[in-house]
Amino acid sequence: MTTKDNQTINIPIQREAHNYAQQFAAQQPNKEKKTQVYLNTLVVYAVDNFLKMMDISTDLEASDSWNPLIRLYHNVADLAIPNIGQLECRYVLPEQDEIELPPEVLEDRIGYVFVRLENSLKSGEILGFLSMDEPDEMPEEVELDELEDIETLFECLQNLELANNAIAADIDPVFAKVKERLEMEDLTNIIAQLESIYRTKKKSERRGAVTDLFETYLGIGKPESADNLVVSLKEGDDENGDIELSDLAEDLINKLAEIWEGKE
Amino acid sequence: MVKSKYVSVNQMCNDKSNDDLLCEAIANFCQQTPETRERDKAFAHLWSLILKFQIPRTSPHPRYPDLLQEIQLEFSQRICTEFEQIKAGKKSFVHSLRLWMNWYGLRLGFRIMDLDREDKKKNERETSLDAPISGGNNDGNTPTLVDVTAGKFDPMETLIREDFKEKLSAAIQTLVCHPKDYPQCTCAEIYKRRFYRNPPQKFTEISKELNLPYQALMAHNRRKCKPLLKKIYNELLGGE
Repeated sequence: MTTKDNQTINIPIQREAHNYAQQFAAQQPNKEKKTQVYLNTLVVYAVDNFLKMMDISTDLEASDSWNPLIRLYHNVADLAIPNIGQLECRYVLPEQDEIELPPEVLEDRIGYVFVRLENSLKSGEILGFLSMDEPDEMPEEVELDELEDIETLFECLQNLELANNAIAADIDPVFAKVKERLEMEDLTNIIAQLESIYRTKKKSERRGAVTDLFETYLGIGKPESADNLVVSLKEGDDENGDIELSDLAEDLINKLAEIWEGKE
Repeated sequence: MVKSKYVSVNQMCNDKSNDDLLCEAIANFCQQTPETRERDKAFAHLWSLILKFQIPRTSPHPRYPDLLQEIQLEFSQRICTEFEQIKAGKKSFVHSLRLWMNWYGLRLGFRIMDLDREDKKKNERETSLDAPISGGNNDGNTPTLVDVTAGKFDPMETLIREDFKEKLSAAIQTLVCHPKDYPQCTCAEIYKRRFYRNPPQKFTEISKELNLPYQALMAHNRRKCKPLLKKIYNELLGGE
């Protein structure tokens, strides 16, 4: 997944971005927070503009970074993508080679885009994309040379939309079973994590990874001695209890794989 | 909502035959001797394919044709040296070529935006003679990174006072709205756990502790709590 030779994309930071950044920064209580909000706002606005140029709809007003109270209390730089989820847009300073992700952005995100700011603050460089993992598995520090290519973001968004459409149309009984089991009206919140599992895990590892994900949302703790290898093996299910849940996990990821592999 | 661009992404992924045609045309153009009729002919064929496969972004701007002509010239000067780099893209060649032409290479997309921005700026100058000077943020006074990290960017007075967070905290406690069947999960309870704990409590944990499905929590937060947070903030501040 390392993409050291990936192509980065320069994006302009418009004057409007600075206007919003000044407005939002003025609402903060101290210098450190003002700087944080200023730079977060610049990056969110620049990525918003970039996605719009790529014909991807966005909704700044529905983003936490555009909510005055949430940005006052939390270090957020998200951009809402309607019917898909929130994309976190983190700024990178010129000399940084790793980034710390604040705990408030480690869940309820579809992924992370990193933008290195230029000293002039008139443009930035999109360095790459990081997929959403299980909240408990998300790294608090991200090595920037391990990011995925930005094209992965487009692939990811496409997959999320295909999955959401398929689930909304209820094209397979497995979706209803998962909703019922997880007590979820819709699966939007976990689709990004399922997509990441599909893209980054080997086929043999997916069953275990999706079962783990289900257990997280059901609030079921993992057995102390269990590691991912154990739960990823079908024959290990007996030791870990819920074969039915693992079967459901496998059915779901197989169905989604079918949808995503058939997209072309 | 996001259909059109995915159609284009799909097309990009399916463009294998187009990839071959374009690669052959570029290779043919690049191997011709400069300033020969053969090279001109090869370029004409290549450019017709470029237009046929809709590689360049388009714009209704009256100066777009001139811009496209500039792009055509730059394309002919750079494509042979940058061909291999573009081909190294992960998706189809058509997709990589579009990214190169419109964004990171020839920057046609950005240059179209510049045209639109110039128009907007011109209109603003003509129509807003009374616009505030400090709010204009023209290129001359856009803060740099050094300015921002040193706190030298804020022409506006801090809008919130020391006691503002206390007032907010009191207002948040009044948000007793909750999902049907889960009276324990008020917006006040959620944000007590999110704002006043360090680190903020995870939604998965809140869902478990308040004994409601994760999805019900997230939907309630999105539909009710977040708009209410905006509302109380604006009310306390007298409008943002």
